[in-house]
Amino acid sequence: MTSQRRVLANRRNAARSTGPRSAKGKLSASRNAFRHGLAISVLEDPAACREIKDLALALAGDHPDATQLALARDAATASIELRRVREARLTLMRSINGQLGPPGAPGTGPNERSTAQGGPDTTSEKPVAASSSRNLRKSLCDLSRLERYERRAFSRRKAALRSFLCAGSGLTVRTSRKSPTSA
Amino acid sequence: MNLNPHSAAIPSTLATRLNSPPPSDKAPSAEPIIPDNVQALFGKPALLPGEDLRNYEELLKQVVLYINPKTILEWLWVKDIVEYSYDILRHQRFKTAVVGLGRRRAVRAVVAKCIHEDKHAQHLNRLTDGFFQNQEVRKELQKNLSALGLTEDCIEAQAMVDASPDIAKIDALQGSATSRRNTAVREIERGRQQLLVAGTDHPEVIEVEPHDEEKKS
Repeated sequence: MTSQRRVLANRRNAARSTGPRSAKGKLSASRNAFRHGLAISVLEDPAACREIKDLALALAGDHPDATQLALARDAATASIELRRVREARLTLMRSINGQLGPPGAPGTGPNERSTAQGGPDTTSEKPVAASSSRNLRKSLCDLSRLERYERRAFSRRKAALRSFLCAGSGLTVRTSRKSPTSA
Repeated sequence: MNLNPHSAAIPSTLATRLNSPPPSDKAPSAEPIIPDNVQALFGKPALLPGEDLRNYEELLKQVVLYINPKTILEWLWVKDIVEYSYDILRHQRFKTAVVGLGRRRAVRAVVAKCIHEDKHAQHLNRLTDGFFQNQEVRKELQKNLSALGLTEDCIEAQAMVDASPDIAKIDALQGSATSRRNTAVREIERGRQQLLVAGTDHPEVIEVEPHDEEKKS
């Protein structure tokens, strides 16, 4: 259990370091939502809201009570948020994949790329432009930035699914200390 | 299925199925792997261009056979296991390809060291291209490398050094995908244990010493 002293210290530290301070930084941060859209709540998307409703009903099953339905909705919202992050990540991976060249089956390297006929590519390597390397580095940086969103979305979904499961099984949710093995 | 929910690693039998890309020569099964109601929620699999849908379906089938999901919750975690397994394999492929991309830069750097005349960029580029496309140019450069006491392994080493920042990033992403996949496996087992406990008549059992029972009576 975190002590009150530690909680107050955490709050003081968070107030010191949160957010950009310069005008340029604030302007850049204000455009974050337009870059990948992940800072916007998924509930503002009507299509996503419909999917959340469908998933919540599927989770809650037949004749759920109000509490179960609310928890199912939370779990569904968290799942759709996670899926949205994954889709953004997949878009970036497609870009990286395109820069690296078409793959064979997952787990094969560039020397095992398939030809149109489905066999391995044994032609000599083609030289790659320097601009490809720069674009690749940028794409990898962007992918690393998405990691923060995915970590948070995954953690929220795990908690929401656990709460829903506990409510359904009649057990009490206990907040346990974070273990080193959790994602 | 006997999983330890507190263990960081997943069982070796499941790990073997997840870490090996499934054979692509298997004919697609006639039986649906995912029930229709679950498929409607899942949508189409998220694959990159060039990835075979049959491989994905085969991996999904292996995981479903092993886990045998019973509830929508478990199906959600199963999907996570498959998708993160695919991510792990993709990241591995990216690492290999990144080193391959670095190879050209490395060849150019080594060529620049080997030749003493005409280090004009165009000439260097021509020799670098020749290393990859022309066997005679390659042999000539290998001779120059030997004269300096170097081998083609130096090119590989230089490529690895150039690619190391990118490889470090990909390694971190691969580690996250592995951790999340393992979490998905643990959550399924945790959920099943919770339901098992909840299904008993007295989910909370209080251990009472004999002398305490006498005092109470």
